[in-house]
Amino acid sequence: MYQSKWRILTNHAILILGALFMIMPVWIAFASSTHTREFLFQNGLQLWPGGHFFENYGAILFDASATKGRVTALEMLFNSMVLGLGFAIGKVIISMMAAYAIVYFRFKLAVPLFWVVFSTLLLPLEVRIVPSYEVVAGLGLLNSYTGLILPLIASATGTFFFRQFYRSVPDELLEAARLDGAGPLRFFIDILVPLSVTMISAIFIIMFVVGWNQYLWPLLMTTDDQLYTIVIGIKQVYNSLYEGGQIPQFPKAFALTIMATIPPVLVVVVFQRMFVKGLVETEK
Amino acid sequence: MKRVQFEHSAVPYLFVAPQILIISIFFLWPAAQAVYQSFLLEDAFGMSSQFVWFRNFEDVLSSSSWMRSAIFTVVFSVSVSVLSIAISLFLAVRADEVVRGAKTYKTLLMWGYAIAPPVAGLLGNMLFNPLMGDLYMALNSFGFEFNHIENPNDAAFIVILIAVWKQVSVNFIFFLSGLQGIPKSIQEAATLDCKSAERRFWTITFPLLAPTTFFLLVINLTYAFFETFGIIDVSTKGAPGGSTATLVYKVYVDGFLGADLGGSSAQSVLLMIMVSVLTVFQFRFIERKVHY
Amino acid sequence: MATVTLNQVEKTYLNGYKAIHGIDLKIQDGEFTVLVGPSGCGKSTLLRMIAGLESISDGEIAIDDRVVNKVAPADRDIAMVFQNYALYPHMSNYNNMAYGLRNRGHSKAEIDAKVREAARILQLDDHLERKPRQLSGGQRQRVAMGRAIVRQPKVFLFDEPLSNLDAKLRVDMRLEIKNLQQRLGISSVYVTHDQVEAMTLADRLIVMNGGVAEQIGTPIDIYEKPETLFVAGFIGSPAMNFLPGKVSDDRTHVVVGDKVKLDLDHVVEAGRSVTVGIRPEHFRLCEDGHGPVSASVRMVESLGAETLVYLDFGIGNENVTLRIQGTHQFAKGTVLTLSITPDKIHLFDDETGKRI
Repeated sequence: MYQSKWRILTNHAILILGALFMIMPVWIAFASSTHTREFLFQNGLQLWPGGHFFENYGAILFDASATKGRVTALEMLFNSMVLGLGFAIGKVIISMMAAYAIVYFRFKLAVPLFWVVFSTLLLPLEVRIVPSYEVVAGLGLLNSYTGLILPLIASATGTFFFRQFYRSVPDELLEAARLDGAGPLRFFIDILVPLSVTMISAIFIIMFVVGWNQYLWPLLMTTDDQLYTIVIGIKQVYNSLYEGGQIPQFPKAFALTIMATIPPVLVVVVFQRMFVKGLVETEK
Repeated sequence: MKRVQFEHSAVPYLFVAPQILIISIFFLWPAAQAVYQSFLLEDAFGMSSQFVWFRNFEDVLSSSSWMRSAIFTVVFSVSVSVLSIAISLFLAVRADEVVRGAKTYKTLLMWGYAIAPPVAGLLGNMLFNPLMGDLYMALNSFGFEFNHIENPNDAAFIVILIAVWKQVSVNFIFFLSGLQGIPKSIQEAATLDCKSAERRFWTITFPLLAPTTFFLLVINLTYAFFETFGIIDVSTKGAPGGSTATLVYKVYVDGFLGADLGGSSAQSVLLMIMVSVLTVFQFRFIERKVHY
Repeated sequence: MATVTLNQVEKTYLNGYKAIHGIDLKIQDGEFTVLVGPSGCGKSTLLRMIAGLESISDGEIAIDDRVVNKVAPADRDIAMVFQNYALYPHMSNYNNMAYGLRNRGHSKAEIDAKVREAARILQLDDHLERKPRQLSGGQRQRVAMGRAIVRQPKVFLFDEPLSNLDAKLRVDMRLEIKNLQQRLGISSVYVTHDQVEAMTLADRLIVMNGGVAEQIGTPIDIYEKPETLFVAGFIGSPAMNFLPGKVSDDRTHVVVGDKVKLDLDHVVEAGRSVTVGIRPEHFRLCEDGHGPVSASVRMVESLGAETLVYLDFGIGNENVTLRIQGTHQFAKGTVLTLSITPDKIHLFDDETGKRI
């Protein structure tokens, strides 16, 4: 493709600026997280890492008092992992099954049930938080992984992705499978699931990141520190920054931020191809 | 739908059961509850309540704080959508053109998808911290008299900036893949027909990206409406004086912190109606997606 | 009306792959030049270098006397027809043709006249207001041609323009392109992998292989005197038969296998190992049973107008193809006697693959 020298030069300049725009805030947070709080307080945010990396990260990973609560960052990371994985696994399994029923079966309630599923797309959790909270509280599920994960799964985005995908699977496949004597269960397990592996992985990756990054719902649900995810932990540390007349614990807040950011970013970068494919194809 | 389907009495019901069960308990029930509560007025202690028809809605719609929040939400959503779409389109066009380092640039620009909104909020908050925020100091040293603690416009600027920053990568991914979906030979034919790269962009590339742009506009509006909760809660908390509280944030503040259940429910129902309109709009568009 | 000169043109990609190895070529004013070769031979790359869509790593390309290495594609005064047409899907066919003219600042009236004239020539008058997607493949092809001719460029470039059409349409469009080119008299470079297109369209044919021009000449020259084994095998369908042979001691004939002796019309050094090439259509069937070659029939394919016979020459497992006019029936195992006139025998050096 023809490009003038000037165009090539400006392309690179613009992209480098764009990359810096994205990276700088996180980099500053990282660099600042490796200094002492006194140093930050006197000198402001830092562009270059200091010598207190192990000290700061070690403290919040293993010492509960450093995160201003009764849990360590390590425990919060574990909770986030449970939320991310539980959300992704639950969502993939439930939506695969529902989409299978909707696409591959002729049954009486197919149309009304489809609309029930569809309606969940209209109302994100954010607009019905108060009653959702009451329902979960009424069921005694506050401060439990179940109460944390299940309500988040009650949206049909995944179902629609799989519905779209199944519809693109050639009809001849089902005809051939039937001629080979496969029933509905066999067809699902032997043919459809293996065929969907790429799709499953892509959705899994996206859902893991979405689950990990949940904020509002865990914030309401978890009044017990033991269930804090790391994203919620950030808010707690942030809230306590200005308490007690001490010098604010900025480095530790930053360290927590960095730790909350690394796992999902790693997932997205490592599985970049699959992630991008999943994102672009499912949203269409 | 499929030409061939299974005819089976029990199996499909077993397959949809888990989804329907979860939706019924954690979606339909609360949604119905929200609608029901929006017609109730509770007394100050939450001991008794009475059915008041549309009074909660009247109260909400006539309250100046709700109107202000609604206006802010619209301004905020439109600014965030337009700005982040413009920035990411600009970057995607350039990223689509480069040969050397194309992969690296792509990675560097798309990883932001994985950042949690409250993390973005915290980063913004720190950078604009009056004690030590670099951006806060930079703006003031240029004589802007920037003060987001007291000035609503400055505070709005911060939340918009953070929300845009967080959204650029998603838009970038879609635009880049949209650009790569345009046949190379069409770009090449355009290079033969038109010398100016800018003119080529507006006459060929941009019209061909129109479906992507429209789709992203809807996605971005939805994002600005709902997913920015975490950003606001960790950056401005709606301050000063509720001037940067979006409607969703206000539902949370009134319902949870203010314990005004009826009012908060009425707000929820109003939001539901707005989102429904937006979603139906989106689906109708997708159904007859522009084909060339 | 222009000439195109290529002087030691080379292309090396960023990853170090060398696609074009020093090509020299001069395309005369009004000449129809065809680049033909298997996929990956560099023919499209070369065309795109002339268009300016690919940079030139080394050497020079000149249109008339102007070196265009650093000239933007839009300024080279060329027009190109793409394999998949590359029409702008969001523009009407009229605008597709007008777009290039508008960008060059022609007046509205002038553009309108040119587009309508092109539409008339290409019989597109009724389709100007439609979008490309509303047209058939052949009509889209015409719009793509129209976009090229409205500009009245110095050079036409065609990148496998017919390969997306069905067989019948391809023949029609082939004739139409040739006709149009002769009428407009514009120098053209045409890339194809289809040798029928290559033979029928070309004033001059360039057979490419591995980034090198194996042979340049008129189609008939190349058919009759292929310079290399590659060219001999590539041009002609069914392909030329190749047999291992050895020049006899008296240097008057070549021995294939142990018994077949073929007369030669030129002198080659005695005892030399060669590859003998014979086109399927150059065997003569000797009805009387007297001839230098006898071989048994393995299989027969009747095409109606001609018959392809696959023969066992008794050398290895290779089929030797024989192509004869009319319909013939031979049982498997029938022994046929054949002869070849000496001037239809091609000899190639075993090591270099060059014609002897």
